[in-house]
Amino acid sequence: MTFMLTCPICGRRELHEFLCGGQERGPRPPQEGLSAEAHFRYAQFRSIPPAPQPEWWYHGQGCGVWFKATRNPATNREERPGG
Amino acid sequence: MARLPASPTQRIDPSRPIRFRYWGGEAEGVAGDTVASALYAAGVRVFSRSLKYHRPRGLYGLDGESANTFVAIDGVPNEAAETTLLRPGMAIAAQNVRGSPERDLYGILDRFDGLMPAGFYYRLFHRPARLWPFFQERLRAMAGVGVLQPSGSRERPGRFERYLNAEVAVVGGGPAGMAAALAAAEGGGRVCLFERRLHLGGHLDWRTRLVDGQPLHRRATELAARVAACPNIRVFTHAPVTGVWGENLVTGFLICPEGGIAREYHYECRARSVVVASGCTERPLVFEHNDRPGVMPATTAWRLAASYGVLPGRRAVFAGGDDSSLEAAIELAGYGVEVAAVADARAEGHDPELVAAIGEAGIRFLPGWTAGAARGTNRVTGVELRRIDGGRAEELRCDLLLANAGLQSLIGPLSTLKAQLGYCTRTGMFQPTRLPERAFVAGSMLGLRDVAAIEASGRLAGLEAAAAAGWDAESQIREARDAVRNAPGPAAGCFLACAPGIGRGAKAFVDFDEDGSYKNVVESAQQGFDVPELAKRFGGFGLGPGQYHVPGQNLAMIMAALAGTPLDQLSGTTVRPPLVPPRLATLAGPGLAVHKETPLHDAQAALGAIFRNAGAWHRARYFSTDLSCREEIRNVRANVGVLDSSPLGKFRIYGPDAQKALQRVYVSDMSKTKPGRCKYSAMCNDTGNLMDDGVVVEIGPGDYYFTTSSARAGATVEWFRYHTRHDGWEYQLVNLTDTLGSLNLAGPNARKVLAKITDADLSNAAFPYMGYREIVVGDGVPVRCLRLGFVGELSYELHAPSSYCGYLWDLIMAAGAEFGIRPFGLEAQSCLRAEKGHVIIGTESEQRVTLTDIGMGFLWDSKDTASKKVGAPALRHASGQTDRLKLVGLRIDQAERRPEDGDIVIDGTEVVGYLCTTRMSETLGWQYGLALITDRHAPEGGTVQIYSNPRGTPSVTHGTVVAPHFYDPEGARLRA
Amino acid sequence: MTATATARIRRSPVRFDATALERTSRDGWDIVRRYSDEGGGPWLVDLSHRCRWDLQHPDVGNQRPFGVPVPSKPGEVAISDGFAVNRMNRTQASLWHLGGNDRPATPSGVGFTETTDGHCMLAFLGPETASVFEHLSDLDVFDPERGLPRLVQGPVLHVPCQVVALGSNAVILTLSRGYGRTFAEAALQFARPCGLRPAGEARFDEWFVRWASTRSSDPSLPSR
Repeated sequence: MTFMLTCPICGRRELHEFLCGGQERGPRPPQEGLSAEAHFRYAQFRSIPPAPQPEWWYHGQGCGVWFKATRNPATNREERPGG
Repeated sequence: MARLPASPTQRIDPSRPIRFRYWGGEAEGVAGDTVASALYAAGVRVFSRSLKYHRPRGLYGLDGESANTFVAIDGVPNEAAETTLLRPGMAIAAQNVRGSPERDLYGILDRFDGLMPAGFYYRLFHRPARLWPFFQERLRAMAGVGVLQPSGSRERPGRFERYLNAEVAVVGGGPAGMAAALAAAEGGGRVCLFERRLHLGGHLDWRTRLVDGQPLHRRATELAARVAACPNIRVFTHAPVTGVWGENLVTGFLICPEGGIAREYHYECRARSVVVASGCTERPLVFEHNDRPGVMPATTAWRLAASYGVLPGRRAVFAGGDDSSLEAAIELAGYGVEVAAVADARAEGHDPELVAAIGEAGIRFLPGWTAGAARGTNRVTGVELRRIDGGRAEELRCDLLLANAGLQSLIGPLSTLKAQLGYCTRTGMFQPTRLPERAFVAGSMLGLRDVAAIEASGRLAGLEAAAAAGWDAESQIREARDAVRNAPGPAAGCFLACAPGIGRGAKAFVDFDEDGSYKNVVESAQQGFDVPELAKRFGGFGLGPGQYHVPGQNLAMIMAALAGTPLDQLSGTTVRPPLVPPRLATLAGPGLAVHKETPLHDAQAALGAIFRNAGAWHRARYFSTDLSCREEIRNVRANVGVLDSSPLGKFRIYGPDAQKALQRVYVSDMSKTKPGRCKYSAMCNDTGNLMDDGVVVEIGPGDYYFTTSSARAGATVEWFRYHTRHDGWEYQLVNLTDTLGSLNLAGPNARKVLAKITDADLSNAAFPYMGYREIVVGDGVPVRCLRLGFVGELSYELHAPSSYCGYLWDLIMAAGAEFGIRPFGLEAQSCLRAEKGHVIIGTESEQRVTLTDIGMGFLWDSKDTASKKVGAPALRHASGQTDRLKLVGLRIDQAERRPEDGDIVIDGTEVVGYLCTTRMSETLGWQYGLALITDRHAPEGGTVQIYSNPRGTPSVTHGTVVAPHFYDPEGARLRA
Repeated sequence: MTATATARIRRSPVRFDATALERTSRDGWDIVRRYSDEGGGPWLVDLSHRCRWDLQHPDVGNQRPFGVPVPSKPGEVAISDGFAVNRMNRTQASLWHLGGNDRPATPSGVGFTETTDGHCMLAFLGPETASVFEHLSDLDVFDPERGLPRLVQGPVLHVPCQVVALGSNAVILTLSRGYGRTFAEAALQFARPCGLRPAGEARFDEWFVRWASTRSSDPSLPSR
């Protein structure tokens, strides 16, 4: 499997330059009164729909910037590259 | 054998003979020969013995289509004779041979083929299980293609890689590929053209037929010259493609010329667009004994004569299914081969011009006929021709039987590219029905036979590829489309699945490499493996090195015929990478060994350090061959030692929101940092596991210097930024890990040593434990000095710019000589810190234990919820739980065999935990252990048993649970 | 913190297996000016002793370190008065001192961190430099669609690097200092098909002076 991702700083680059930070799931929930279940749902639970989804990617071998990409895991293609 | 008179299609230089050895004898080839052409010219007909039945096998294709012609060269097995250029002095040997290729002792196996049905290896020998090793050994000895001789070749050729970037990559250097490259290059983009053979030209290379008054080989030369003259086309010949991948990554290997830097090396080309023009090959005709030496595709014989000047035989019979066989017959007759007959499986639809030429040459033409059986054993001696309807048969004598069932497209690159393929009922070939983005196909693999049509399709594909890569070529594309439309379309193919009248028990081979016969296909279907993808695995069709080439389309067609499936529903098998097998050494030989070295590497090496891998670094682990490091440990405890701790993560963080970021990732209250003081804290992940620990020093307002563990240095920036990604905070991080080297000067004499090389006040009052000072050492070296105590002694960690570290080391060693200074390594450090009860992340911590479980919960500021500290919810959640693993100390009883790291801790028959680190401590006088055990067994004073089972001899040792701080629990020594 | 040392006590991470013909000392560094047998190129030059800084600022595009305006877009490189200013991302630039022998003082301002000792800095020079690079990395540093000089951040020999392509015959890169020695060794080994050989600092100086002068006299070339 190989595909390319569009880093907003560096442009289109090989997959092996990136680390995946998982789905976008919003900011960290407030911790005051946070139930264990709510916390683990936020921290651990993922769904992988075969449809475009916002994800975090880290250009670790390049500019060292986290960015959001919208990728379809079924095709490994980006929607709105660089968005 | 003398070569044919010189001709313009020849690719050899008969004036330059090359001597080599074959099977113990001397032989001679000429420059330009491959091993196969040289051996064939020298009269070799039986090249090897087959995998299962030890049948004699001869030259089949000239492009590595089968393992028939795999030979051992200079002791290296499995070299493809057809694609390896002849070199002077080569020692060549046949493979899978007992005796000689011509008289093979296992040849008798062929008579017992009934005992070796499809899948026999899986089905027959596995019961009873105890006999399996016996059968395995016997079968492996008889089967196989070549024997590795680890001591045979000491050659370790260099390993290289080459990465190309292009707007358009073209796979295949025939007329379509060359036309595509030329058209794509008009857009100005970078074009890379890959051809597996030594020369561009494809099937035009050896053809003398006149088209528009010009011989086709001249047309090939002309195109190749234009390609070579084009500045933005790069041509790679002898560069087989192993696959084309997602978003048009082309991979393959470059075969180097003689005297090159390597035998071959790997390349990758990332192209915006790709054109696949890999062409066609002859589809083997499946008939009885179709594997006899002397049975080959028409092109093989044709190229032997035209390109290599070798007369392939004296009397040939053709049994083809494509016009190329008619053309070959005329050409070979011209080279002096007597053509006894040309049978053609097609009853009609032949090129009238060629039929007329055959008639003029006085050659017997038999449309609607094909080959039914070959005669002879080590050589083909004759053929039984049959009418397609099975009505008549006729025997003919020949020593060359040039057989095919039409053409098949070389779909390998499209298969790896995940193009959708379907069987075309006009061309009789698998063709793309849907292509991935920016991928295009051209040439004869679309069923085109007319050379102008092939070039037009190449031009169109090249323009479309360049346009997809960003060139505005709309008008050119429109013209090219018209040209394709006006050129002759795809030719009708041949639909013959196999020879008529073939018996179910026939030794008609579908796959040579795996000895897969028609009979085996029938057996596979009967066993229920009745679709090609299943039969491929059960019967091994296409699993050999030649892959798809020989069985490819035939397997699908025969299975469809057996099942009565209509042709338009034909499904094939997936062609797997590598499409052409590279050497393992090409992908994984000696080569890249880029790792990190500290600025003290040389200084330590000079003192006898033994280095080990530690992440990306090579670090000094021992300073003597005593791997228990007794002297190193004793010296730190008694005098003073120095450790290279340079890989320690070192960072600067600053900016208005720097403190917020620290509060987020560290578990402690980071608002309590102070200038001149090291604040120790830890980082957790969202499950509360310990991820990192280190100290943070405030060096200015909103400006901090902090350390991380060596293993985490590379992930620290990523970690900070990830966990603050939604906050929009303004802070900057600078990774200083490599900027500053680090020396840990530790031991009761540490202060005395340092005092000799700096004017700074090192007294306990001026520079207390956990203090931080910026001092100048020696000849103006700026040092960040941290007074820490990981090993449990008075210690100064000196962080100095890396370029000065070698100098600093020399300075310290000289100053410390009178105090008994010695270097110590990672192993000694690990023992020293374990005696002190200091954990190493990943050694005394793991995914099941939280910060609290390993006794570091005191670091966590549990009241802070506002900072949303990473790990805090999990720590909170786990804090009331029972039945968790806890870190404890163990005082282990003396035993004959000492427990080791990783041994399990038991209570009766229950496993209650394991030993993380254990050593016999000279300092303590007894063996200690740091263990993770269930909280039920964790209270101090309890006893546990340790179960050891090295090399299958179990023993049990007893231990008492104690506090995990074995050495100087009050910490008096590090505050001294 | 700034060092004041003058003796030759600073060491580069890189050691070439070649005979030094001419050496010099500068700012505590022991520098090889020329090696014997440097050949006709391509060359690999160790520039690890050249000063470098990290500059981070929320408004980095409006900073003028050493009088050189930071380029407006990531990937752009400004070269002036011997300094290269490479725009890395939204808030960060790297500064390289390429020309001149005097050690520049670290500019005042909280955003500057000296990183000279944090990197190994290497220059690939001479004919075939593009081909040399193809043996080391899949990065498209010579993408004709983008102008030169420019900064590419990505892996070379699997090590993250900052790569500045100055022209088709010159590339300068920095990488974590720890990789320096084995990286240079691997580069020489992997680029052997192109005849890459080590060369002294003088080779770079001569090249840089010539490059800077042709660039200032050629209006078609991108300037800052």
